[in-house]
Amino acid sequence: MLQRKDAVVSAPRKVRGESLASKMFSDLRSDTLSFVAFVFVSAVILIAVFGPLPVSTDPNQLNLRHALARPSSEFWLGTDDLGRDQFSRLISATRVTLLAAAEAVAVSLVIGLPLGLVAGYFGGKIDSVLSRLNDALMSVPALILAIAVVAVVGPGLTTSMFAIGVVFSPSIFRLVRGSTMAVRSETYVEAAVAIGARSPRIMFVHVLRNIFPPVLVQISLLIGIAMIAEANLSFLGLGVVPPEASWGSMLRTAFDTFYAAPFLMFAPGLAIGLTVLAFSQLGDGLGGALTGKKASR
Amino acid sequence: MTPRLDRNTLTVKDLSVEFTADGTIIRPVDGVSLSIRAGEMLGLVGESGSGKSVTSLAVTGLTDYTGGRVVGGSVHLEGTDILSLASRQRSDVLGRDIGMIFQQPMRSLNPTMRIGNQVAEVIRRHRRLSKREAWNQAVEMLDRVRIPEPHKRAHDYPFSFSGGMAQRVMIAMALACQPKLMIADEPTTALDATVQARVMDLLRELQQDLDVAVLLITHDLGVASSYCDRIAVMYCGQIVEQGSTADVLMRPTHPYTRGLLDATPIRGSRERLLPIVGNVPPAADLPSGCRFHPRCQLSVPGLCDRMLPELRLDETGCGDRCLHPESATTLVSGVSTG
Amino acid sequence: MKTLRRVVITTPLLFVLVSFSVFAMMAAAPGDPAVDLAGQNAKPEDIARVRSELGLDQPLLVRYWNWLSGAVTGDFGTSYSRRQPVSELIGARLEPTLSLALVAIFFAVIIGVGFGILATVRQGGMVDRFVSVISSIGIALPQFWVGMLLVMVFSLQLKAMPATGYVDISDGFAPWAAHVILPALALSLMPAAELMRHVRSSVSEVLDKDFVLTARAKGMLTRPIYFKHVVRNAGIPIVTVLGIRIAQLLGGTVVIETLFGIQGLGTLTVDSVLGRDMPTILGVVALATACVLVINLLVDLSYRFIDPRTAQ
Repeated sequence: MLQRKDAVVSAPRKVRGESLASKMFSDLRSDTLSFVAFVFVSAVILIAVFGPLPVSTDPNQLNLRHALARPSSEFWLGTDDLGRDQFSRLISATRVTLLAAAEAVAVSLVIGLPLGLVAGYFGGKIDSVLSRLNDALMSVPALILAIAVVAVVGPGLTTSMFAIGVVFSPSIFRLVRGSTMAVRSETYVEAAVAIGARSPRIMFVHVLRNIFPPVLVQISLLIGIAMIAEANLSFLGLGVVPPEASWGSMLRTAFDTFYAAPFLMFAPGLAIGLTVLAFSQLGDGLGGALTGKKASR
Repeated sequence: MTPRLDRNTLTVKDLSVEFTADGTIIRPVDGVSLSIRAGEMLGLVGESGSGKSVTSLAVTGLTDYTGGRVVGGSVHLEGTDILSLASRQRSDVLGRDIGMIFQQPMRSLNPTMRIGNQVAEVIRRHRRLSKREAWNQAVEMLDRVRIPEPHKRAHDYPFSFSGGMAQRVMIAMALACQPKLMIADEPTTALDATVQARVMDLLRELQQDLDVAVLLITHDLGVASSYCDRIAVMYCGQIVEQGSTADVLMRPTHPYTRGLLDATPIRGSRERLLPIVGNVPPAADLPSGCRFHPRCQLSVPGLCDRMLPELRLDETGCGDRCLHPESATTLVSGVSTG
Repeated sequence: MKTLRRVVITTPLLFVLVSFSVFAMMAAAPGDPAVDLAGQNAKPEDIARVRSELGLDQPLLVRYWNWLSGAVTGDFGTSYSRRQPVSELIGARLEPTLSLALVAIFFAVIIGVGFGILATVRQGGMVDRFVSVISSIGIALPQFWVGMLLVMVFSLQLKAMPATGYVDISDGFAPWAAHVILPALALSLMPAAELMRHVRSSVSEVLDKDFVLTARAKGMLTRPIYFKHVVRNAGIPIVTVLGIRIAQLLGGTVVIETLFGIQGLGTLTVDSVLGRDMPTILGVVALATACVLVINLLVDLSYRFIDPRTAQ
């Protein structure tokens, strides 16, 4: 059996007077790269929430006379083929992109978490069946499966991110199942020694609390991957519907006007790249902070 | 000095090795000299951190792969200057003229390769033999190190061998090409006590059969006393005393050697074990003058903390690195009372 | 033997599970193909006739069984929107995708393993740092963005290679290569980046091991050390990762083909989604799944070549 990089982690015991969150935060602060990533991610989230307000230009405002303008003092990042200001579009697209990624991850959790818990906790036949189904799901290349789901539920941002969520659920399932199995064997020992039978529900809660750390790390990684998936689907025309914009759909626009205005690909592309890097570095950093050793990169 | 034929197999002169760790340069081996003759076993004795393992790696030039640099001195193997060889010639020497065994035999064998092939590998590297011939010789070697049913076991993988058997395989690999020198770096430390004696007996026997010079690195004075002809005691990268085993262990002249002996349990003796006061200083922060002076009962302020004593050897190669050696033999046993 | 069991039992089982799930999902999709096909002014009898022609009036399991028995012989039914057998559609578009995928895999392995080993051999050096930067970036950027960048540099600025289209290899090696290099490169960079990282960490881990020092103490030269000692010990995790990345790469062809205007299976899939052509999508999914399952099998088989212990 091969070592998985997402090995099972047991949560650090809470020290009296110190909450888990503050311990994690101080561990994170000591790792410069992860801290920078944390700051960047927070900035992006802030922009997503508050961004559109201070920006004066309307992202959907058409300025056909200034179509495909290069970056200037008026249009900081230039304009697209319909004359829309790229800068304000980028800002307002932040919220859309982030929400889309969040939706995909949420869907994958809703599907993968309970099933993983059940499979890991009960084992036996249930586990066999669920694991087989999971393996089957993993046998299809991700993007192709996502497209197939979109064919069924229809194109659009919400539906396509749902499809991505479905495609992500096997990795959550696997992680949760593995962690649950490890934790369960721990708690069984505890239960045997402790004061008699504890109700399964309490055990469930205990399990959840203990598998929380690796799941959190995985979530951080998946958000980044979801953003790329969104970009891919929007690029294919299956994602965001205009005039709404996400970073992915802005890239699609850049592609459509590639020969006339190749510079349009840089802003959204870099936005995606940096944000994904930040999320994955944050995930690595969190993983390091939670297991008490440096990130594996 | 009258010129005389150098009958030594190995001559190490003033060898120094440096490592850079976190920006600081440390010298785990500082001006070490030693020599070994054919058929002779020299024990390089010291605690961990004394530099004895690094010395063994430096002699073979293997420090290149473990991060250190040889910054001074020379190593001659029967006249050939090892350290000045180009890397290809040096790897020709390794395995053919020098054989080496290490501390953790289970980790020192490739888990994915059959034992027979691992021994045959060194044979084919240095001799023009077909695969079959090399394999047969490998099986012979395994027999010589007393692996039962060698022709069968040669097909096995390391995981099916015990620690003692694995070390025998290592010995087989090291001696397969009948080298002139063998270096054994703590070969028995990781083995069970009963197995230790058997492996060392085997080593001694093969040494005599093949007339090999052996450099034995160990922290175990018991092993050194039972098997070595001569002993060199190392402390903080320097040799502080050397001589025949009897001389060093019965009539130690350096306080550190004396301290080591007092801290070593002797069967049958009911004397209390006396630890040496203090700790081995870190390589980056060595004391001034004599490196042992902070822990030494005989240390003379103004002298021992200022001057680094030289290693003074007599014609037989015995001697020490202390400014008042006579006192060590009359050292009252009792570093601290109560 | 474990692999035999895998071939005979697990692989077909997984294929059935996948294909049935997707089949069921499509059957549950909103909309009635019979209505679409029958046309705007169709009367209920016409719709019913079309429905029974397509076999849509039968129970799900029967329909699936019909599909499956056809699929194993290469018959994937008829496309809803194109009135052609799906197998024909797939067949016509197979070659471009195959070329693209194979060349991309080739690039990924050469670049990934090559740079990974270079980074290991010169640890801490320029190459090493370059590799860690590139491998982080490579997985953070969308593949098509990288593709666009390549087109910008090589097609627009340097005018060295065409930006779109595909040329059959039978029409000449040079034009084929010119059209395939940029898309294959774009497709390969993400798996190459991951591979670089894994190779570097696996190989450097193995090189630090005691048995490698023993090999050096035996006088072994660097190349035999790599082949006999390193490959066997680092090989399995690397090959496993490679298998996973190749599976992912197959998905990536969809995007890259769209970017470069290549008429392959990827663009077929996208067109079929917009046209809601379920049989074609199902056919492509089945084919892709079969490929992934075969790759997994090959990876398993390779283990015994890399590490002889797995054969016992």
